[in-house]
Amino acid sequence: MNDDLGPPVSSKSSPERGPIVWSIQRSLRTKLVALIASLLAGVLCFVIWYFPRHMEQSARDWAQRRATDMTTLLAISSAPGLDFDDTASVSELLSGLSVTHDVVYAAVRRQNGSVLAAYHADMLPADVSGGADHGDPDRAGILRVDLPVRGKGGSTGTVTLGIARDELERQVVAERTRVFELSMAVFIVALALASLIGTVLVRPIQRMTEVALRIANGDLSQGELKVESQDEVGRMAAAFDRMLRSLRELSATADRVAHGDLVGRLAVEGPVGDAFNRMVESQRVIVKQISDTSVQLATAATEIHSLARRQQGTATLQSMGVETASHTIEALLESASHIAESATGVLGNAERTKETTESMSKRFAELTGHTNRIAELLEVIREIADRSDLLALNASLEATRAGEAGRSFSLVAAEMRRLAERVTASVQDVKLLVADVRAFGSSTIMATEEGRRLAESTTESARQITLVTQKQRTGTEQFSQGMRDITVTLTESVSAATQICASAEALKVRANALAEIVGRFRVDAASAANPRPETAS
Amino acid sequence: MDEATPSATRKLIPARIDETWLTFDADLVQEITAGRAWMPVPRASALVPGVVAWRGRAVAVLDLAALAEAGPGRREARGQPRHRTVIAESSDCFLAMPVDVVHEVQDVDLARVRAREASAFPHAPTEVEMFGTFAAIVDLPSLVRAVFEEGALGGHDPEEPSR
Repeated sequence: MNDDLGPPVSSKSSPERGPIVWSIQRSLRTKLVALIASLLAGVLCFVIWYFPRHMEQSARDWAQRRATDMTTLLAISSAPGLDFDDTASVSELLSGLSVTHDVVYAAVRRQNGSVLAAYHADMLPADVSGGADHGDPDRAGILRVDLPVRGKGGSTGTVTLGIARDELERQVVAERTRVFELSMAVFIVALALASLIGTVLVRPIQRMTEVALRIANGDLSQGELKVESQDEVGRMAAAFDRMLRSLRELSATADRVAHGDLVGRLAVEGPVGDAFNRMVESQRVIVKQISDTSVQLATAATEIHSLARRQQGTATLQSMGVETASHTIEALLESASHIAESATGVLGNAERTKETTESMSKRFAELTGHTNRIAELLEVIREIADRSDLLALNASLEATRAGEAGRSFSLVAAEMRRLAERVTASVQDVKLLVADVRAFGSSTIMATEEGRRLAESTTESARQITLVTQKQRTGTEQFSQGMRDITVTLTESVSAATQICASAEALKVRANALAEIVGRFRVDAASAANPRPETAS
Repeated sequence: MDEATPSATRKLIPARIDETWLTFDADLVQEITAGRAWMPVPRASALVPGVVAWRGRAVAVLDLAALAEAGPGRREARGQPRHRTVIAESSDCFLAMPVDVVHEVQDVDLARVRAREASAFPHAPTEVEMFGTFAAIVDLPSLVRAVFEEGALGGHDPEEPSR
């Protein structure tokens, strides 16, 4: 309630606050006294400033006129003496100035500037005496008047008169002091009167302030002010009493609301009563909503708890699976490295195999050329053997015709024919062998060519395997990194699920407590019989 | 050759055509040459299908394979060049006989010569055991007569119109 009425008024001033804040926080009496004091101070400052200056100027004007008048009188009086150059009469005339207490010097000078007569000649200024300056340091404190003189005889001259300002200054200071003392006296008296009037005027307000402070402190047990006056303060006191009664009723209703009774209404009319009744109505609606919401919240907290439990279990299983997969990926990565090394080795072997098969192919081509040459030579040998066979046969015939003489030749021919026959048979065998060798060479060439193509294919495959393995290793590394990230995420997820589970448990407890608290409110007549709604288990 | 002339031995030249071994009297054989292609004679007999050139003269080709066809011989090698050609003379008639294999002159004891039993070659009344089989001893004069004079074999190609 203190917050609603604002902070309490403090009589202490804060040094860091400005004069406006200071004036706002003062009491009304202090403000009134300060106002009157300020007005009086202004008026008195004006009086102290204006009147002494005015009087000083008047005194200066009076002194000027007096000096001028005295000089004029001296000029008129000394004119005959000037005509006759009568120093004695003029000196006598000037000596009459001794009755005055403020004339410092006086002199009558001829037309040529020489002094005819002088009063206090030692005080004359240098331009008047024509001699050295007498060293008077206070020439500024002397009022000098020069006035021309013309005698009836036609003689001319100058009368010079010096009057001291000291007296004038003393009078001015005396007048100023008197005005200041009088002003201060008036100020003090006016301040005392202002304080007295302020005390009388502010007393009912001070009482209302005290009562308001107690109300602000929560004490509504104050008696009514009962101010009898009919002025503004009295009307304000009556309104204050009425406000106090309304506050008491408001306090009682608020106390009932605080104890959970949201059924009653405030009988105070006006915006405050309407606002209070709307507030209570809103609280009633809010309490109903909070009651419903607390039940739903408890149910939701239970579901969240269950879901968090399941999520925690799932995340744990996922984490274990991901960890296993991570190990597998690590093994796969290591295998990929081995495969890459093996593929590099296979690539080298395939390239060497390709070179070897190409060399073999060249060798087999040369072997085929040799076998062709051998076949040609065999054909020549076969022809020779065939011709030998023919020769042997015909020789045998001729030996037969020769009779007994050709018998030995016949044997030689027979032997030669058998030799040719064996040669032919051997050539045939060799030809078969050569044919086998050629066929073998052809098949070997084909096999070598196939091997070369296979080696090329193997080389290309090994190169592709190397590239693919490299990509696989890169991809596996990225996948492994991803798995590690997933592991971290899942670990955080498990932790978060655990926290969610604990939070859901706490939320369920809070929701049940909230439902129990809300159940204490009486929002309708029916709820009075069953003030505590059911809470979620 | 005159078989009536008594001799302790008989000089024979064995030759093989397809699977059939034959023998010729060495006295009648003039030369053994390499196998050569003979020039076919239009509308000639199947037994003498053409001629070959030998020592500046045209020699009739006697197809022994066709002759052997009357017996168990094979016909598919007929007319084809064979490895050897046996040039023989009988009754002032020269014959060129393509054969596959010819061996040197064999001095055969007459006791080994017997009447034809195992072989089936015509114009070979006798046979001799040689190289593990029985080789017919061709009677070239009889054969020449049969082919060129008597036409006993009627040597016509069955697929050719007879003259």
